[in-house]
Amino acid sequence: MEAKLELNRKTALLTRAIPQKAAYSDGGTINLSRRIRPGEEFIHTILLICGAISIITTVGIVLVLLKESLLFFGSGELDLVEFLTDTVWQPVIGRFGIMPLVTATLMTSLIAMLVAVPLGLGAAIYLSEYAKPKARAILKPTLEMLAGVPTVVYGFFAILTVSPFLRNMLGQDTVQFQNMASAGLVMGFMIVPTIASMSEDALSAVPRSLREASYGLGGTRLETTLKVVVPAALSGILAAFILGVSRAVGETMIVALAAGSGPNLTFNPFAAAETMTGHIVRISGGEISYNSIDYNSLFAIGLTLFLVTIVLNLISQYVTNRFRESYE
Amino acid sequence: MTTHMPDDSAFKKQLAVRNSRSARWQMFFLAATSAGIVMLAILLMSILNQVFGLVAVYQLADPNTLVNGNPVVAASAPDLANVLKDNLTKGKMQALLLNTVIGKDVDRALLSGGAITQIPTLKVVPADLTTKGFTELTPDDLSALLAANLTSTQLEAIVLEQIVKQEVLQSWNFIDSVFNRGAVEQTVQDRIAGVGLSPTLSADQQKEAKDQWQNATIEWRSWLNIDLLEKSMSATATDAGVRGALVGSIWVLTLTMGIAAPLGIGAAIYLEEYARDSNYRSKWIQRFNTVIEINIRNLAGVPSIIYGLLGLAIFARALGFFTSGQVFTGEEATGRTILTASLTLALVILPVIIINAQEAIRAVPKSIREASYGLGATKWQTVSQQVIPAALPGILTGIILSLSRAVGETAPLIVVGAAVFLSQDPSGPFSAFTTLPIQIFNWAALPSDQFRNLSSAAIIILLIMLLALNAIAIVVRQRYSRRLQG
Repeated sequence: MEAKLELNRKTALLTRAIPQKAAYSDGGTINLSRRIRPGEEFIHTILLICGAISIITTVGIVLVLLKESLLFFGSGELDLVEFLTDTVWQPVIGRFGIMPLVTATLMTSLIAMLVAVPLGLGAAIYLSEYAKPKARAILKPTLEMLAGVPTVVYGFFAILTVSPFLRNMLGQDTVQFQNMASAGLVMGFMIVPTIASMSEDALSAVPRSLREASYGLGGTRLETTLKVVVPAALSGILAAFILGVSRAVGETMIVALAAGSGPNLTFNPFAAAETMTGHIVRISGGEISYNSIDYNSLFAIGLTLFLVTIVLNLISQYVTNRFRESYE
Repeated sequence: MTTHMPDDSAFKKQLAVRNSRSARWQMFFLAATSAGIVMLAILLMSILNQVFGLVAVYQLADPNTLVNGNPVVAASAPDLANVLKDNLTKGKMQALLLNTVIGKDVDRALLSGGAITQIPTLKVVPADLTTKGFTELTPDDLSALLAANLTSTQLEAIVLEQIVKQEVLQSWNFIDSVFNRGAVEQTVQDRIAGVGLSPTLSADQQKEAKDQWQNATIEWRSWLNIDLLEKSMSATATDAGVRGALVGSIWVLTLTMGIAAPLGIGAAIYLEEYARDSNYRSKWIQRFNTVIEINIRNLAGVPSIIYGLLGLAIFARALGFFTSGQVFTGEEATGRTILTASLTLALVILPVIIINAQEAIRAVPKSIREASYGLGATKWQTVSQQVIPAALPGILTGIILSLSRAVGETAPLIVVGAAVFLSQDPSGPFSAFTTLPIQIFNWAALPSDQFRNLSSAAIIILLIMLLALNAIAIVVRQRYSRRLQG
């Protein structure tokens, strides 16, 4: 009897819709099948579609970027090798080399990381290892306000205050009005909270026993922090750095205002040069006509940008998962 | 017998070195934490520095004595109309009546012949003018018509714009205005003497500029004022305001929330309640769910400008017949509308909403669900009547915080095609649009000092909006969580 009931229950689950009846010892029956509830199924489907929107978005992004990029490369004006290696981006004369845009993006991101890594990691160590709970409760939310300021405000700040400051310090001739240094510096401060809060999470996850062991051996607080806690949290910290780079590469409004408004192949941080994102914003800012090569070229830049950030994000996730030290 | 321990004095020396190194690094860590906060303070101060300060104002007429020796502000409509009549030519008066009262779209035949009572938009016509045609109106008649059809506030704005013609010659920031007043006065003296004027000006223009400086008054101005909220876009700094941009921002945000909130909550419910449920799992569905999860994490890291490109190609271009409203009105229009902007922005904030809502739903104890099932509730009854109400404060907080991200989002909206110049305020989903951060960007990119002042004032408005949203988030969280406890 028991076994039969169990079997019936299993078939009921398997076949779902077919009504199954089980006999009781007194001769009565009970319907054990799963009832069909069209309303429930309908809601389930609707919710599934909501979930699928994210996939549709990704597929949409990839398809759009690929399609327009193919039109760009199929226009006969250039091939992929030229796109990647030519050092001049001047649509007017038909030269589309992405190099100057890429170097500007690299330069601004590098400057940003030079600011954000020491400050972000320093802040994370202070908040996690040194600060008293009261100080932490004030410092942390204040620091995170930096991440809430709209990027266009940072961009305005860069040209209003930082760039004139650099020009006064180093000379009007050395530093151009728009320059990669001021954009990178400000961007660095924007990224500090990202790195600080991710690194702090990683540091806080290191078990207390490791610290106690280090103190027990006579280590100072600094030695405990730098030789025990930070190495133990390294994967999380690295992931934070990589995510920071990805944010710097994709950041748009700061570089659009402060870094420069024309492609320029240079490694001089005080020169103006346009980044990939800055170029997309400037070109699409006017009423750009569809079917022009300018329009298509934006998508080729977008595709490059998308690939770079996706790879960085995936590396960041991989590092977090692969090198996570697990403690009980 | 060797030992690794140093002797007592060497040990003490070493310990002192180690401790001082520890102290030095602690200073560095504290400095790193403070650096960001100091930067934030400098940012706020340098923006506030631009919002208040001295300006050199030049105006053709003094608004305080313009109306028979009385100020414009308190004057009645007929008096103001008289001032217009005294200072403007007949042609200008006609143009004024046409632009402000009749409307430019009027049938031209009504203007060239027939009585003005025929013109539908001309609501009030004084009794002695009913037989006259538009072209027969004298300046006195035009003035009477203006006074009868416009309020004194509207006329005041016209008088200020047409006759007073205020112009800001130069602006100084707050610090210079307060601590360096001497330099400000010196600049004014220099300009009157012709020093520091643009070398490209012709001799006549030079003279005019010197005259303007001669008659200019130096006064305090707060660039953040009611006028800024009331005025719309303009190419001259004194007439420019953020009304259109603000209206655009509110439209875009409302629509964005309307699109993103239901989708985001739906996706989060699916991922937390249904995808984890073994009853609904086949191998393929299981894989599909994993892909969605990974995908959402990755989408959150895609730069927003990429969404802009997606919006440009799909919403603005491919679906242009829909987003422009063409399917509803039949009129040919571009897809660069508020609806396009909202759809794009909704995709940008969707991952953030989903991740926050997922966390809120996950925090609901499993026992609540089990209790609901135990009473015989179905899946959806459990989700809609137990799980969602319990998770609501968390979900709402997440939505409001993602909105505060959307408020400041600029790049994707520029890419989908924000209007460079708006002649009228956005009035619906199918209007051309601009938003507050885009307005800030456009002004910031201009070289003139006055537009920097305007940009700073607009930034203050934007920051106030952000603070308000965050305050609402805090209030919502506290109020709802209290209700759940009670």
